[in-house]
Amino acid sequence: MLRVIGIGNRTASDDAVGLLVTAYLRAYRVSRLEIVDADLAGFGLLDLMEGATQVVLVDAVQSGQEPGTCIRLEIPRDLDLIAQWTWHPSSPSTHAFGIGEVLTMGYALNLLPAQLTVYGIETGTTIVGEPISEPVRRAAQSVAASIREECTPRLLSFKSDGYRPDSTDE
Amino acid sequence: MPGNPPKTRTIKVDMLTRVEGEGALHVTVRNQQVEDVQLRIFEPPRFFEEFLRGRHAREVPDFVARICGICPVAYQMSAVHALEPIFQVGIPDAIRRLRRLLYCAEWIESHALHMYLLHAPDFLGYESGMDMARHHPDLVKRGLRIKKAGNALLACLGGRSVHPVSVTLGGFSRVPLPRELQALADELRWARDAALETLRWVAGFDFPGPEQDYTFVALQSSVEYPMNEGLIASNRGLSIPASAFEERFHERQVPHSHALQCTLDGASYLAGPLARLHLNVDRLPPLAKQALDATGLRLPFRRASLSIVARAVEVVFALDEAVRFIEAYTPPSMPAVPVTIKEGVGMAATEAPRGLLYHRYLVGHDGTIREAKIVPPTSQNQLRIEDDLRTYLPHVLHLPTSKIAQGCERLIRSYDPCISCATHFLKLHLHRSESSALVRTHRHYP
Repeated sequence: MLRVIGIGNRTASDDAVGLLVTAYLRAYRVSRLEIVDADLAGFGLLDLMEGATQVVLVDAVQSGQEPGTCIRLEIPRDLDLIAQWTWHPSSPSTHAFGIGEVLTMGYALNLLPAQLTVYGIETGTTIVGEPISEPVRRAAQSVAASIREECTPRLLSFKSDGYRPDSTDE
Repeated sequence: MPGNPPKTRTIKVDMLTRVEGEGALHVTVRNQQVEDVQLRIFEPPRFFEEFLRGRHAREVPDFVARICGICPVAYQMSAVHALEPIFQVGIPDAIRRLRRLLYCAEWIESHALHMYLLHAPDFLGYESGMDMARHHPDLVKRGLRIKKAGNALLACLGGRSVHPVSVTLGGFSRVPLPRELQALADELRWARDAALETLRWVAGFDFPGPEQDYTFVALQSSVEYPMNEGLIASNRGLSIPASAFEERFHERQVPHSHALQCTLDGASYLAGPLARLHLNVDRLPPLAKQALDATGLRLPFRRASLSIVARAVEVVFALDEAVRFIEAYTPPSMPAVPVTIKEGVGMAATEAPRGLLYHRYLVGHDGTIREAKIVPPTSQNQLRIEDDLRTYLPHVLHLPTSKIAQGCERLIRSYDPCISCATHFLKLHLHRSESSALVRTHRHYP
């Protein structure tokens, strides 16, 4: 069983992207998939992963690339990378931590699932009330499709250094 | 040497870390004399008091919960306690006690986070909570588990653990079933034991820095350790109802901060766990009182760093009250008493994890808010932090600037300032350079 956790703020434009991915996955009706929405990262994320052996996290990221760019990271291998970018803390508070810090902490405490993949989708705008932007929506669709593939026996291989979803796959 | 210009040295902490929100510290030292200390809060103002105007009084608890992600209950409690007297609502004891239980949950999660991840790393010499976790995983796990127990209680009572939704005028929209609370009892009992261990652990730290002659300000109750009720009291004889708060406490604007600074009769004072403990130590139930006595530390605590001990005592107290409440719980006959909206003005102060939180509302005949005033604990402590730094700095001026900055930051963190609360902020820009990675956050919130 694969657990997918989407993190996002529905009201904040592209920051909703993690939740959009889980919405697509629900629509695909994939079997062997447990889907969880999280409006908050923070240490609660460690609780959301508890009991799962294979987890995929999806969150908005700001790493200075073009909006819609997807990053796929394997944890713990890419823990150093994850710390370099901004992952939205998904709470109006530095008292709640972003997923870079949470996963670093989870690793130190030996609380992470055996297999953990993080998809980061580069955001454009995160202004409250604005709709999600087109490149980010397309990226969400592409990530959802990739996760669906991962649930099937033939696993695809991905590059961890980022790829752009093909804008013609609409 | 004669003729030489005076030597000026500036100590800057451009971004305070491990505090909530965006602030900086600027200190000017001239000829080895501290000339100026400015705690700069540049988190932009959030205008909560303004946008509450025109909203219906019944909406206030949900709105103010959004001021803070870590202490939403405090805002809800001050709001309902300020508004209910206007409508002449009598709150039954069962609901009153459930509100205390909700507050216990918030104290537990807020204090556990501050003690373990924000404050303890300073005593143990770690850069951050993450760094500490690598070396003391079991300690950090214990802290996270205590926090989680608080969050679970909050979610059970509030519907969710952040920005709870169950608080209404007159009570709750829903109260938990006995079995829902019972399900948490074992974990809360574990957490109570863990909190006792936490107190023993933190009481063994070294508490550096010069002693301060604090004016402690907190609610004081004759019957219980205060949360929602009591008079606003100080160790210098103040004892007033919340309705008289604005006669003695005044907010003022200073050019270097977006947060108003609050003074008591024109001077700084200390709100928060240290003040609460000092003024209410005799109201602690036996378990917490005996645990405090067993540490060998004696009140008054005159150093901000000792606040970690006060927090630990309060976590023991809150878990003890929560466990005892749950063991005897029967739900109130109805979750809320009916409220008839009337016009008028009401004030209340309750004890947020970080200290006294004052609200005043003017309600019009149509039930809408005409005026709102919110004075959060961090505004109240702002000047006290600056005064604390003024006393501290002369003792460390011989050290390299980076060491001084570190010491100042540590002192500020002792207060657990919630800068977002102080400005009711709307937007967060965080530039943190505590490690080689530059982390930038840019978010907007409703």
